Amino acid sequence: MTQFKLSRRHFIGAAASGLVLPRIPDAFAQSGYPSGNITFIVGYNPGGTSDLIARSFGDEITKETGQTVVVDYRPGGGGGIAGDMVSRARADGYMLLAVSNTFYAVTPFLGNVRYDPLADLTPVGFAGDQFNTMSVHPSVPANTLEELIAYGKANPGVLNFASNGQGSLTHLCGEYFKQRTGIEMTHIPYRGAADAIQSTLKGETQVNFSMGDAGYHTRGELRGLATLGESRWPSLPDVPSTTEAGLPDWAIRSWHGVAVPKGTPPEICQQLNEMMNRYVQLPKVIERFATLGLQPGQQTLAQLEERRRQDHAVFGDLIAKAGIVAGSKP
Amino acid sequence: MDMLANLGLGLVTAMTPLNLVYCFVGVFLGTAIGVLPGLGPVATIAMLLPLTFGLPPETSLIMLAGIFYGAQYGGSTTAILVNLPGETSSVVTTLDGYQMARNGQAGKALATAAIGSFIAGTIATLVIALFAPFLAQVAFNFQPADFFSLMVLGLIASVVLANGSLLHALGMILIGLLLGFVGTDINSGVARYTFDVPELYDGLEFVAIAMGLFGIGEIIANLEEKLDRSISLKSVSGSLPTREDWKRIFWPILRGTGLGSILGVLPGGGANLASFAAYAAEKKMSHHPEEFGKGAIEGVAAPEAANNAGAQSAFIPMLTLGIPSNPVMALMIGAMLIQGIQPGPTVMTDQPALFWGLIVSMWVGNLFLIILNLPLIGFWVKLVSMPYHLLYPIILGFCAIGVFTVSNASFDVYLMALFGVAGYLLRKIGAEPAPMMLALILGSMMEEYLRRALLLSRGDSTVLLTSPISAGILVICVVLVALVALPAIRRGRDETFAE
Repeated sequence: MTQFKLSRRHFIGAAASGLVLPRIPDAFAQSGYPSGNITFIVGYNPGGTSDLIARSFGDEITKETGQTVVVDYRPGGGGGIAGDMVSRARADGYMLLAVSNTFYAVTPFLGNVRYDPLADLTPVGFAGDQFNTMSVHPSVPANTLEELIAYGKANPGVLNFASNGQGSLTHLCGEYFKQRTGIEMTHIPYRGAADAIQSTLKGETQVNFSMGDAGYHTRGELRGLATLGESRWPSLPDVPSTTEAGLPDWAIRSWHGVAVPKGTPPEICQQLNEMMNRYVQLPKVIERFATLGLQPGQQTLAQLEERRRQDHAVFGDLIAKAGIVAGSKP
Repeated sequence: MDMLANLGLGLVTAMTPLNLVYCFVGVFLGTAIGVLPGLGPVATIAMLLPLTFGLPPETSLIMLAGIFYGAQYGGSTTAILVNLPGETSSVVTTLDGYQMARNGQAGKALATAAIGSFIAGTIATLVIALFAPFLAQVAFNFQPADFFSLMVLGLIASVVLANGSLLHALGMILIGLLLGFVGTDINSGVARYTFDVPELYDGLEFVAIAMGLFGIGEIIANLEEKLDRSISLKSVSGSLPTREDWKRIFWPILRGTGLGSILGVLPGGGANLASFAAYAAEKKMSHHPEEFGKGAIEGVAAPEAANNAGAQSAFIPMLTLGIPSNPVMALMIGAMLIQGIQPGPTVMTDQPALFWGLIVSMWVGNLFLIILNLPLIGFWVKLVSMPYHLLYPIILGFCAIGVFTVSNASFDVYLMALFGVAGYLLRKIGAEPAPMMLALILGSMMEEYLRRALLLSRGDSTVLLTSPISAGILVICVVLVALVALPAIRRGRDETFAE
């Protein structure tokens, strides 16, 4: 792949940019960035959380700077193909990557990625934390986390937990839960969150860690036991957090943000960071994020760096301990 | 009555101006690509998929479905007029349709095909409305073991019913299954047959393979044959079917519709199989079999009804079980996933407007086709009589764009080229690539379901026999295999396909 490969979207974007009148507010007149089209890479198919983030941020960037933002999808390899592409792109701030913490902390341990997630990608923006709720099929005789643990211990080999796939965050959740509580559950991987939720709705699996539609809980099709982390999910105010339910310091959280290739000038990183931190406070963005269970927040560059390093260490440790096998790593 | 209320809801959805416009666009495009050899619904749908991101889910599915059944229509128009089947499913129509046209009955043949398709489309719509809710109900109780057995049945059926050598069909299935293994194993995360190529981690892109095998392969074959494309269309002559003709085509249309509806539901069945089977059945039942191949009107009516009914009932397993029975349905599943809809039994309950709107839109689309296509026949013939040296680069271009847009990967374009050569070679040795395609699509799903069933049963493989649904389906598989193995029946099958 060469640097000057012209994709269809680049081409359309380039063609369109000739029509967009440059409107450069004062703040950007100084640094001169951005003065051209920005490509926002999404490592998954359209329609998911990363897509929503790229589109929301992209719209705001266009509104603020007048520059066209082209969202480009490069699905495959658990986001590894997109990560690889961005890590080798020109470090000028014109290619952004919508990332979740799996890019830094899970995919590199499991996939055959060619980039070093900590060295080759620089996090610049934070979108939000995603709420995941641990829930069970209504047939499981447990109304609280405590009861589930007791039930699991009394009936070894009965419980199955669904994950969004081998090495997904939900898989890690299940393994982490097993390690912390000592109960036995069989991991059943599915292709994505929708399949996984479906299996628990049918009772094929009993335990689920996905962010399902809150409607399943209100209709009684799933029984929420705990929302992972310190705070409750506003959509399910009656379900306690794991901290409240007796499992403090739940380590596995899923969060989303924006990254650029390493070596991007620090002033551009800083500028992007400030832009994202402003955007997540806009009511329109908050509302859009809420549809996917994203709780927006602001993080400085240093905080982002700290957070991903922490996840990298904790998740890596967990993956090794749980014996989650990877493909052959070269 | 529930069904009427459901169809009413569907009618309301299908009749919104936006949906009507896109339904029309779909069937119009479908007819166009049906007319053109080498450019099939897979390429077209793949190409248009990105355009549907911004549309409401039901609108996008209505348009994409229109492309699929519209293509069956377009394929038969050129089959009758110029002896060129635009789609595989209209190959049979050339046998008697073209003869009718040569006898000066082109108008009658086209009208018969259109009427047959319309009646079949109407009945198939009702069949889906009647049976899909029932099937969805059953599907709720489907366990992984049952899904696995169902897919085994689909593969066996595609071997048994394949056109041509059994050994070839079996070989194609095995190759397809092997190709399906490429990529990251969902259970262990181990990369299989990927040779450290990141593009292979998610498996081979079936759109690229389908377009290579069917699209590019056909272009190479056509170029080699140096087809004479200097087609001069005599004015479309002949009248509408007479009272006498109606008597002759009434039962063939109904029988074709019945066969099409049933075969379409089978994974791996669908429109192609249905048209062959319907033609063979009519020839057997006819009082004047000697007319077949010389312009028998039944020989147009039955397969046309069958392929249209089959094209529609192929949606049943996709909508109710989430199992694709052909590449087009696999793409439709992709289109639903993009819209955040999980195909399966919940579609009907969670998205009733989408489900019933799509079904009723097929009837509306058939209406469009019958009204529009008769006046446009001249246009379609012009399209197909375009010199091939102009046409094939355009088709190649469309195929390349279509493949690239699926996941913006140039790798997939090379993959398509590679499988284009493979498709040409398979054609040369007389092996039909359709079973391979089905095995590729179902193979990875089959493995997934089998291993999930075994995980849930803690490694006990008798789960395939202790689940009543799974056991029942496996019994049917055994019966099918036994039937093919019996020499007498085998001879009968060979005769039927000797057309």
